[in-house]
Amino acid sequence: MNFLQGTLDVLILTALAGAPLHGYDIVEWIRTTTHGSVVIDDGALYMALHRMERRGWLDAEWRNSPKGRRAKYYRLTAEGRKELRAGEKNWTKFADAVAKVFAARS
Amino acid sequence: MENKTTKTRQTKNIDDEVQFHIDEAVDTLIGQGWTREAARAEAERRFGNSARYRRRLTVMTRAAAIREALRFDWRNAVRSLRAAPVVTIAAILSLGLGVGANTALFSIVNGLLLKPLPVHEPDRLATLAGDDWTNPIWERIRDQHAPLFAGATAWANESFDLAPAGASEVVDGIFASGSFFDVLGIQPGLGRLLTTGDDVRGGGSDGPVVVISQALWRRRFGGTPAIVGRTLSVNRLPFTIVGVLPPSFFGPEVGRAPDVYLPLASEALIRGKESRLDQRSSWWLSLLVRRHPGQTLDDAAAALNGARADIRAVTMPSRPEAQQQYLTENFRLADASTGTSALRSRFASPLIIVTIIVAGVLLIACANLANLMLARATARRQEMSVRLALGASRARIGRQMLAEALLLSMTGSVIGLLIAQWGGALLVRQLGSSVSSVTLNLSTDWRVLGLTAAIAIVTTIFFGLAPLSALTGIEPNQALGQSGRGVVGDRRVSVRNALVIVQIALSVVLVVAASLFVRTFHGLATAPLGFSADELVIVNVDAGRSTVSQDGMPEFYQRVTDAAASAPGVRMAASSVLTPLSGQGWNDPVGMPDGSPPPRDRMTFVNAVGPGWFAAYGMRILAGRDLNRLDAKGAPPVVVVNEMFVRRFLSDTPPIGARVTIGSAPRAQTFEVVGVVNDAVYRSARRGMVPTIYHPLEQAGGLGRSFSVTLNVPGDRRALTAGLHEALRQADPGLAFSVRSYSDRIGAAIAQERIVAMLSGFFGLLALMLAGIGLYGVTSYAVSRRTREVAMRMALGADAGNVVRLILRNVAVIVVIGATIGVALSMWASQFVKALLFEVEARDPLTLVAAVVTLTTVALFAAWMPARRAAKLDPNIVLRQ
Repeated sequence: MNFLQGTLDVLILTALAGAPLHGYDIVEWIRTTTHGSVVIDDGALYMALHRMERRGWLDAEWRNSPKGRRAKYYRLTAEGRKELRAGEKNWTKFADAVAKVFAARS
Repeated sequence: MENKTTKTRQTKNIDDEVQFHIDEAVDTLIGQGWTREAARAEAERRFGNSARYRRRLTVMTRAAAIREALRFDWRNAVRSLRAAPVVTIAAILSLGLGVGANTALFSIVNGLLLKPLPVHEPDRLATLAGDDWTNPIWERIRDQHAPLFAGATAWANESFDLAPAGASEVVDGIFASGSFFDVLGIQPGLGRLLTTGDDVRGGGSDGPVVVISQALWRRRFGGTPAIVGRTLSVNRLPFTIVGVLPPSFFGPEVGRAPDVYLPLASEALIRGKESRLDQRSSWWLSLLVRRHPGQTLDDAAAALNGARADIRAVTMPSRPEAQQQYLTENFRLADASTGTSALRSRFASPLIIVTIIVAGVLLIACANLANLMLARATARRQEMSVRLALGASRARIGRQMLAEALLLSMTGSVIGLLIAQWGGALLVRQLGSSVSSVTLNLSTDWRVLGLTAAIAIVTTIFFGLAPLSALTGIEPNQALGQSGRGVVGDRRVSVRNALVIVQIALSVVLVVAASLFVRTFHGLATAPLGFSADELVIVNVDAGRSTVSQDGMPEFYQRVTDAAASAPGVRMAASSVLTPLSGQGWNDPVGMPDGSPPPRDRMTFVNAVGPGWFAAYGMRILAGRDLNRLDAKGAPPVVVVNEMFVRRFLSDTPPIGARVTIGSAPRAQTFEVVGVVNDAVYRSARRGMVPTIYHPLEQAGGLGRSFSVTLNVPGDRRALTAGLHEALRQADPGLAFSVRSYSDRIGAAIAQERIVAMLSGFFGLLALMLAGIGLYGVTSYAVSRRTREVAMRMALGADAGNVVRLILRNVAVIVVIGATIGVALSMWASQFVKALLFEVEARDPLTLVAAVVTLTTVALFAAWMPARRAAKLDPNIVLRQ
């Protein structure tokens, strides 16, 4: 699978593990949590959000934002939660594997 | 449900989402001290090319939406088709049978008529048209006029016996001149092919050689690589195998796959004294030429005709007055890129006719389907109107109808292809007579596939669109306002009626055709033969390796006949040069009573028979006496004639004792007629009884090494072949023979008519069935259209009978119009099939009337059912709706 795409999906799913968020919130949350190291490309974000919504991992509804503007809020479905757990496991496995590779070199 | 509003809403959503994101970013930037304009520019920049993402998002969402809509359409189509199972199955079957039958027949027509030969540049090949040619003519062309063409070759079909001893193992083969494979441009599969060096009298440097087919190589030699140099026994003579043909070449004729190819010159070896190589009156070779590149067919023919006199001079007819005409008769060249084929010429026209019939059936099937879909669409009018009112676009509903139509035609086509495979194989098996099996390359190539696909697509479009026209006549408000009854334009009703009329007309034509062909076949199968064939078995004997002199032939024949008579179960046995229905013929001119040269058509058919022949065949001597052993070589020359001969040539003299002169000028002889026998068929049942004379065997000069023994075996035949084998082996171990019952031979002779009868009968029934279904549909529709009207009539006092009669009357009008057109069509089309019929007139009134009556009965019955349903309506319920 496309590694980059997979990682982006996992990040987004993690961001939505709690309360529903809209796209801008998601970008900010990830930026803040990673202390600015990871800034998601906006266009890619929305492609991912729509894709995951179509797959049934996310539910979406239009609400008024705190400022009164109309915004689209996303939240996880049961299916999405399963994907999140699987994604975490895979990522951990991958990270261990890469660490082993580096360890072998040094 | 997707329509324009949905699309705009989706686009708006995407725009809003992106815009919101940018606005939030702008706010954040302003909070960090940017000016509003700078902030906006920066936010747009950071988002990236928002327009591009908007577009991509839109496309992605749209694609997803379309996929979703298609899936929705698909599920809906399946569901609605399953909701009306009878109609669906009828539609699929109609289409499947129509497409399947068309494809099966077209595959055969394709294999038989259209496929070019698997040779090099087949478009440059041409045959010398006309029947066959003599070897002297071929040798003249080969030796003196070769530069006229890029290559020329001669060949002839022949059956060969490959068994080294005992019972024959007969295969198809070809005598081919040395240039044969060169002209065709064939490369050997193994070893080498024939060359001009092999085509010399007495054999070339390798002696008598033969080339065998792939099939024979695998069948008999197990495909062994060490095949070159092995010996093959051909007609009990040793030939050396020099090569194997490539698998792609099956032969110069479509439908025949010869197993052995012998050089033309070796015909002298095979037939010995009866060799036709130097006979100027033996016409047996086919000539094939390859034109020079750039030489047109006309050029080649002109070139050949330039040498015409020289070529023809080699074989001059005996009568001087015919010589001049003969010398000036033109040669004609015919294109041979698709190969020559006796199968083709035998089956071409009936196949084409049956193909047209099948196309007609397909048309009926399509008309049916259109009607059925229309009926269903109109029945769902109310549902459609509601959906229209709720905002569904016409395109959307149209798409759903198209999905249903596609589903139907796909399923129908798949079933059709299966039927085509199975039916095609069945048909080819039927096409082969039991003597030579037919091999046709039937692989479905692009032409067949193209035709099937075209049929499927056309039918889809045709009846995919048809229901739409039902819809465009409806305004949603109108439909709802009148409680679902809907208004229907007159124009559309007449379209449906026209379809039904076309259906009925075509069905009449098909039913008429079917009954004509069935009656033809029945007539041929039961035609009186003049002899009782059921108990007869024919043994075709070839003297093979046995050494018999010309003078000893009659005694040899008798010896073999007596031996055959001793086999178990044989009641009588008799020999003859020819047997009826063998396809072979022997005819001679009959002299004029005043001795002047007879006109060309004054001919009689001839046979030479041994003692007891008429008795074996169950033929009766009507006057005078039978031939007997006293009619021997030195005795006065006598003949027995049949009734037709008497009627034609002896009408004004008493036949017994009359003297007739038979034969052409130098060899003519006078015979005394000693007996009259009843008429019998000679060459084919179709040609019927012809004038025939019978010589006694002993008095017929020039008896050949092959002849026939006819056995009368009334009872059990199981022990016959083994017993024959033993008896004949004892009589003469060098004999070769093959056994066949008369019923087999007769069956093979009318195979073509049997197939045509089978097929057209089947399609006639199919047409009837389809017409019935069509009428059922249209009547249901008419009934549903006028439910309120019917209910009102019933409420006002009309009884059920009146209602039914009213509906049926409308249907009857359509049926009568259709039947009339059908009858007229039949009478016009009859001219094309006259040649195929036997003892039944193409415009036979009985057949026409019967067809019309049958169709009318079916039609009225099909219409009566929904009519009866209408009469059972409760007027109160309907009016309240």
